[in-house]
Amino acid sequence: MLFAKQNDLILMTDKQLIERVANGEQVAFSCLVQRYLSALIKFSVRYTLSIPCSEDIVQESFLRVWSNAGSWCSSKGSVKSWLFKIVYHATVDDLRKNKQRPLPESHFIENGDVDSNPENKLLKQQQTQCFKESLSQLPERQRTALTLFISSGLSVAEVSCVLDLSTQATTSLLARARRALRDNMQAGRTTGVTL
Amino acid sequence: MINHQQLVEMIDAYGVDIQHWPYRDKEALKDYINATPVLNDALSKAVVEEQQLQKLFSLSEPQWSERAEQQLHARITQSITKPSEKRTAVLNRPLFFERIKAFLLPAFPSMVALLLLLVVGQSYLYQSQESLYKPAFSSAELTEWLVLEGLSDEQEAFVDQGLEPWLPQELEEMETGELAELMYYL
Repeated sequence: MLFAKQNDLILMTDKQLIERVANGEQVAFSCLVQRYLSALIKFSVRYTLSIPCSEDIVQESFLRVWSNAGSWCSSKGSVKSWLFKIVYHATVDDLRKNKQRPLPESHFIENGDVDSNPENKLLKQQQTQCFKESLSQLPERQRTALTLFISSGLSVAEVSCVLDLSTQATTSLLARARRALRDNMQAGRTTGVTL
Repeated sequence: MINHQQLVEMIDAYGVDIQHWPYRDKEALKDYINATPVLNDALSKAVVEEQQLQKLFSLSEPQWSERAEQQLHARITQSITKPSEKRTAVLNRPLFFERIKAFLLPAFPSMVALLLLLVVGQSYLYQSQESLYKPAFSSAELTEWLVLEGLSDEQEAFVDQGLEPWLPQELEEMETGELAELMYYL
């Protein structure tokens, strides 16, 4: 059989998938998209604040992956970090091109937190708002490093690949980002947040 | 093995998971931290903070429905299989003439120079071909050559019949020895 079955592909590593994508296997590409689509959208939305924009960016990024899959090699880092790097650069480019674009906050729907107690709900909203403000006050590189590390679950080595930094510089950046976020949140005097 | 300050630095740089720390013997480090109350407390506190941070990151994430994800997935996979649309060729005349003008005007002097060069080259070629057909020698020169290098057919016929060939005036005026020598060679 020329192409592997969908179930076989799900069990494959990223490296095996990207090699198949490089050979033009559309099923492998579909599997790779499925694996990282959500994480990449969530990462991109933190910058664009617009789901439709991030969808376009991620779609374009995946098309680049499809046409340049052959150029990936292990020296470029893991497939995961390579994908995040492509989306990160595409997002930054998009933001530069559309500087005048108003931030459509209305598209940025926060994650629904099911809590029947209105007091708790309000507290969480305050915490989230304080966190968002504290995070947005961080320098762009620190914010990206922290988001990739904590939210997207990338390792230090993978974060360093995305940001084109050495591992040493990345750990230093992450440490500074954590300290700065902690300071910002303490300055925000949020109730119940002890970061 | 590790003090409190170093532990805080490691947590800030690598997170709370000791498995990600750059230590060779991670198990020994883990045991050491567990056995040291100050370090254990600091690590436990950091774990709680990390969980809060992860929760805040997750809460601030946008809501993206599964349906939207499926739609985008389908859009991406379709976009790689979609054949490129055929473009119908429509001639935009004003644009076409503008392009032609833009191409011709700067090229005009060079084209004239090229044309002149072609004309000159052609005439030179014609002259050289004409010279090929011109006789290299005049009839007088040829007769002289025949006399010196050999005899004409008429004279050869005389020789064949054993008669004295008719000789041109120049040969008649030659000395007998010279003429004999010439006849010998012929």
